[in-house]
Amino acid sequence: MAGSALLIATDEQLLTRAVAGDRDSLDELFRRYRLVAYRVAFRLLSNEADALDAVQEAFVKALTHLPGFEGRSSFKTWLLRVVSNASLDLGRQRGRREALSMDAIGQAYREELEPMIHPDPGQGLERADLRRMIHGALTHLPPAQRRTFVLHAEAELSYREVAEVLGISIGTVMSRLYYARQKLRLLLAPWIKPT
Amino acid sequence: MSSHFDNDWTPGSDLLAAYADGEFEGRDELVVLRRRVEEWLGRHPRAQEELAQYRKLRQLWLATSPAEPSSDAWSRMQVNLQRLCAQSAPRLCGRRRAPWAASALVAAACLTVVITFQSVRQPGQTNGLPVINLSSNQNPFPVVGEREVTILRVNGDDARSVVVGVLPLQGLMDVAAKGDVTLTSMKPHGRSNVMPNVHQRGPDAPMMIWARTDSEPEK
Amino acid sequence: MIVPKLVLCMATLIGCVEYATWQDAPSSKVTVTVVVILASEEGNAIDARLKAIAEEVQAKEPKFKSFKLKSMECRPIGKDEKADFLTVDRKIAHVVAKTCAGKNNRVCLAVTPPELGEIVYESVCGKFLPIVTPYQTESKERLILAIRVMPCKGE
Repeated sequence: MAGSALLIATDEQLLTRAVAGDRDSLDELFRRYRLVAYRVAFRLLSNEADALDAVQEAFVKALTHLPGFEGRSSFKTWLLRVVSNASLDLGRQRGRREALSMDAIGQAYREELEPMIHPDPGQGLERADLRRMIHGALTHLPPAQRRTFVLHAEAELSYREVAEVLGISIGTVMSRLYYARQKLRLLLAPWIKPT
Repeated sequence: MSSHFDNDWTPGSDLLAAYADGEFEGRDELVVLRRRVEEWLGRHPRAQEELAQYRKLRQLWLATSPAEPSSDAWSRMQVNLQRLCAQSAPRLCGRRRAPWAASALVAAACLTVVITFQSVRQPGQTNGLPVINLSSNQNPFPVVGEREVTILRVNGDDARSVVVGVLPLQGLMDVAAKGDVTLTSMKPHGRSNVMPNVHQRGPDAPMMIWARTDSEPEK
Repeated sequence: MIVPKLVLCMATLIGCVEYATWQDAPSSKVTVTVVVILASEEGNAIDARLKAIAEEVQAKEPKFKSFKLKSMECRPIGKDEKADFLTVDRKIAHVVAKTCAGKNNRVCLAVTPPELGEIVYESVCGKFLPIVTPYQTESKERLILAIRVMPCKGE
């Protein structure tokens, strides 16, 4: 009995064919990684339209530099480096607030988060409110910590993969994640402290 | 209970973070270190509370995962990408894959895709609610039987597998062993897929997921 | 801890043969339970709780000799809502609760296990569908998920 089936190539096979000019392989690579790229961009930009723009820009850059991709890292980590760079660039261009130092959180923190803090955490928040709250907290991280945290938590990259994406040591990844969590814990305390 | 470890030792913040991230999981070479951290945590309730908050933070993060954009949004992006690609990297955006080249797709991507279930052997039923006793012979995880599940759709796009058969399928879905499915030819199907013509052993095999292995494809 | 979660999730375990439907779901949410199991080709220790699942898996994959229960989580999910379940090594299983088309308002689950494509299925309530994923830990243990939807009619 003949049946319908789908054949799947590895990333390496797709890349080889893509570099050789095979558009179907390019499309397949896009389908595979567009969602994780989007999620990382969204976490960094907190806006669907901006995140889609960042992903599009990242894929164009990736396509342009594809022939130079030497395979020293995986395609995923390579792409996510481009995506996170594109997201941060877009954020800067569109006037998103950059990280504030812990000393400067003060008033700015209250302006951004306070309206969301008043509701009793025990009552629960809608998902969109929770997302806005998390993004508000993320903006208070220095860019390096924010990027490291998002790559680890959203793209589910291991320490080693995050280090690969950012071109830093695993120790630096661990250190950034630690400090990022410390800050987020402070900023999101009403929602994560045990009841 | 006395500790095996030096009571003056304190794990650094990096180590605790790695522990919170599950970086010690499944790593035999870190078993001793993991135990040391856990033993230290046992003596430091405040640190345990911090760890619990890290985990809560993670749950909060997962609960706010961004929703996927609509298929229209993806389609628009794909059209834009093709246009921009043609402008900035025309050599890359040239041609479609030739049908014959699809056979190169059937190269080794190591995978095992298995979804298995069989006729259930019904555990003994009790009247009313069962007693919750984890050490008893009760079966806390009864498995669905052949007539109790229907597979409606399997997406092989993101999986390294070949899905053969017709859906929906009630009952048995099996993994094809080597030799059960023979690839006879390939033909293009749609823009980016290929459809193999396959011969399945046995007329009653309604559904198989052909588990790709590192071996050469069947001829 | 795992034990309290198991007690919570199994408190209403009744052998039922009906399919889960949305009209039986309190507050329009179904409870999806994901059990995370690690199977190994080494040893011969099968957690007593996993006997039924182990038998089903071994019938097709006899190479798996040991089965251990890693974790279990249950979560209420609304219609078309997605829930992410953490498995091992930070791998996530995504589950979306849907309405099966033309199926008397039955609950369908769209499950995307780690390293597998999406599987959409409907099943009776209260019983687990085992899924053996391709994912293997560094200790060469294979990730298996067992998924159940509740509630059953009358609960």
